[in-house]
Amino acid sequence: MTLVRTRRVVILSGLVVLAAVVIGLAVVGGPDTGRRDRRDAARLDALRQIAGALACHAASGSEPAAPITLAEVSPACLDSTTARRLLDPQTGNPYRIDYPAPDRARVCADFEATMSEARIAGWPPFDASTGCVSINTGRDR
Amino acid sequence: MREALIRGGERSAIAAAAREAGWTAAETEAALADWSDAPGLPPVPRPARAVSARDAFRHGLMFFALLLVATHFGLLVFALIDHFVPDPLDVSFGSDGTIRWSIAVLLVAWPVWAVTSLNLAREAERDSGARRAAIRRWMTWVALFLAAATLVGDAIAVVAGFLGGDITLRFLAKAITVALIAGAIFLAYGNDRELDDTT
Repeated sequence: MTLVRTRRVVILSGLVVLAAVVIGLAVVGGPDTGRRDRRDAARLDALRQIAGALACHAASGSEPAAPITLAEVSPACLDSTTARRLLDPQTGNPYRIDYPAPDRARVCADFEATMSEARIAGWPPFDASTGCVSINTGRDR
Repeated sequence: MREALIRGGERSAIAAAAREAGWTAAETEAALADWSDAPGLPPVPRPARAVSARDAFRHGLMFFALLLVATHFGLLVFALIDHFVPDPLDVSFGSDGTIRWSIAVLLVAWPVWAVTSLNLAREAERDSGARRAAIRRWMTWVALFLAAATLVGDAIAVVAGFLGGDITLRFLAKAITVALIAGAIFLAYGNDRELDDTT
């Protein structure tokens, strides 16, 4: 390409690329948004790990029947190293565990943003309106 | 050819003899064009298209950056199309990661491509010998080949999509995006190919 033509191509492509980058950043947000999304993803992953541990605890008939802290969960279902890691990544507080029905356990967190359907898909199911993952323990307390 | 020219053979006679020996017209013309006639001197070789490590590095870097820019610009536009034109049948995990990654690639690769392209164009403007670099011709043809292959692949995807009942707005927008990117590369570097062929 001649120098004049190269300059034109560089300027034109630069404008097109810049427009795409600006629109892209408007859609996904900046570094703060990225960090927030990663914190929410970590929360959801932790809730699902805890829910799995609660299901394991119930299936093995361990005591107490309705643990409300990770320390009460059977070590066979959740080792202490993992339990220490399963805290809210921003506040460092433990996640909330409750039992809305005798055979149902729920573990909840405060999420910072609304996650897409595709992002929350998976098992155990996550309820975006409450910020909780629920499982059926199959065990009446 | 050189021996024939040194012995004072007429170019037309040499060409006729070469064709008689099985050379094609293009091969004969190219072989004769490598030598220039100068009164009182043996045939003088015309400048050859050389491949230097420096040329290979600079042109290789420029086309590598071009490949990254073209690919990730396409991926970024695809992700934006997915965002703005949702498809209820799409169960993919979301495109935020793709958008961030493609933006990162573009922010690094586009300046590399722009600077190397401008430097190479400046050098070719100062010294027409730079335009003869063999690696430059090869890279130009590789870029054109990739652009043409992309266009052919795009056309195949459109036909396959049509047969599979997948002609959605989202799909058509992506097909048009690929065609525009490949077409832009073809337009930009196709002109380069014509210039190269005349030098």
